[in-house]
Amino acid sequence: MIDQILFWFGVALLFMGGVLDVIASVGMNRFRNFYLRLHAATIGSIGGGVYPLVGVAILVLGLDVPSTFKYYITGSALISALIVVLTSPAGSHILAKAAHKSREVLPKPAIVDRLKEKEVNEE
Amino acid sequence: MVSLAELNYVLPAAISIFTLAMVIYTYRVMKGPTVPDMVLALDALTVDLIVLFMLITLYYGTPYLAIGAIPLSAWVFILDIFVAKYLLEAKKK
Amino acid sequence: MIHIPLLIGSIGSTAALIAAILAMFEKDLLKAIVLSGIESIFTAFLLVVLLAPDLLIAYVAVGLGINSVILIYALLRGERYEE
Repeated sequence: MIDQILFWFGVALLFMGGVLDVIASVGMNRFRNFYLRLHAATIGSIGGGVYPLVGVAILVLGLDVPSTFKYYITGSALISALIVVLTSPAGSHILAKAAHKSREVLPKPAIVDRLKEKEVNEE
Repeated sequence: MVSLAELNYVLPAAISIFTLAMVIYTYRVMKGPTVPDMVLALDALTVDLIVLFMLITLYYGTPYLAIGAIPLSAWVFILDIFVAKYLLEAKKK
Repeated sequence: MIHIPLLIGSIGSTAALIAAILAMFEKDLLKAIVLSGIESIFTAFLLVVLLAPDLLIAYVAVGLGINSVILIYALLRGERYEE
């Protein structure tokens, strides 16, 4: 009984992650600016990457396979999910900071830009 | 216990959903007007490919394929850092 | 019956070919480095489909890590845009 619950819970997490991933990929094409695409990138990495990995890790535990198979895949999926959780927000943040500071991408429809004024005052 | 054959009803649908997302991400990565756009889309594409690795591992039924997901998720972070470093250093000059 | 991993592998290798062709004709050299990184990731994906995960570890570390880092350091000493 508990195996059925684990299996279908993992499948539900897997498909929820798939739907979020497709939504994020469409949003990555529809948004017009780099700073707007940061939202889509967050959904694509956390919603579309971490949820399905945790789902696969739970799904395998309910299968009728040898225990070496189960725990190998569960450990790999959980470690990958942990690495993605730690590194993806840091990568997005450092990229946005560098893009704003080096004037590579300008925030186009902007009325006021306090960060730019602060950077100009510091120089 | 759920048998392994029951997984074959679930896996093709999941693999096709993630492949669709992979194709749409690839369009943005190759088109992207500026460099930060491309690197940002490359991050999301790599996380998508890690999930596909896991699904293909389940499809083949051999656990030793799963080891490839860990170095890929660890190494893609380095491109972010060095592109950001290049943008900051090149502006200073 | 279609063998699903080989189908996905063919899509990925086509994307790798397109990325390599775009990297050849790119004038902005930083964009060309990122495009070669895309090619490296899709080739690593093809290695998993062909059941060789031990090659993947070396290929990702060299193609995405060392190659990009050395080329970006070389680009810091020169011009970003090609004539």
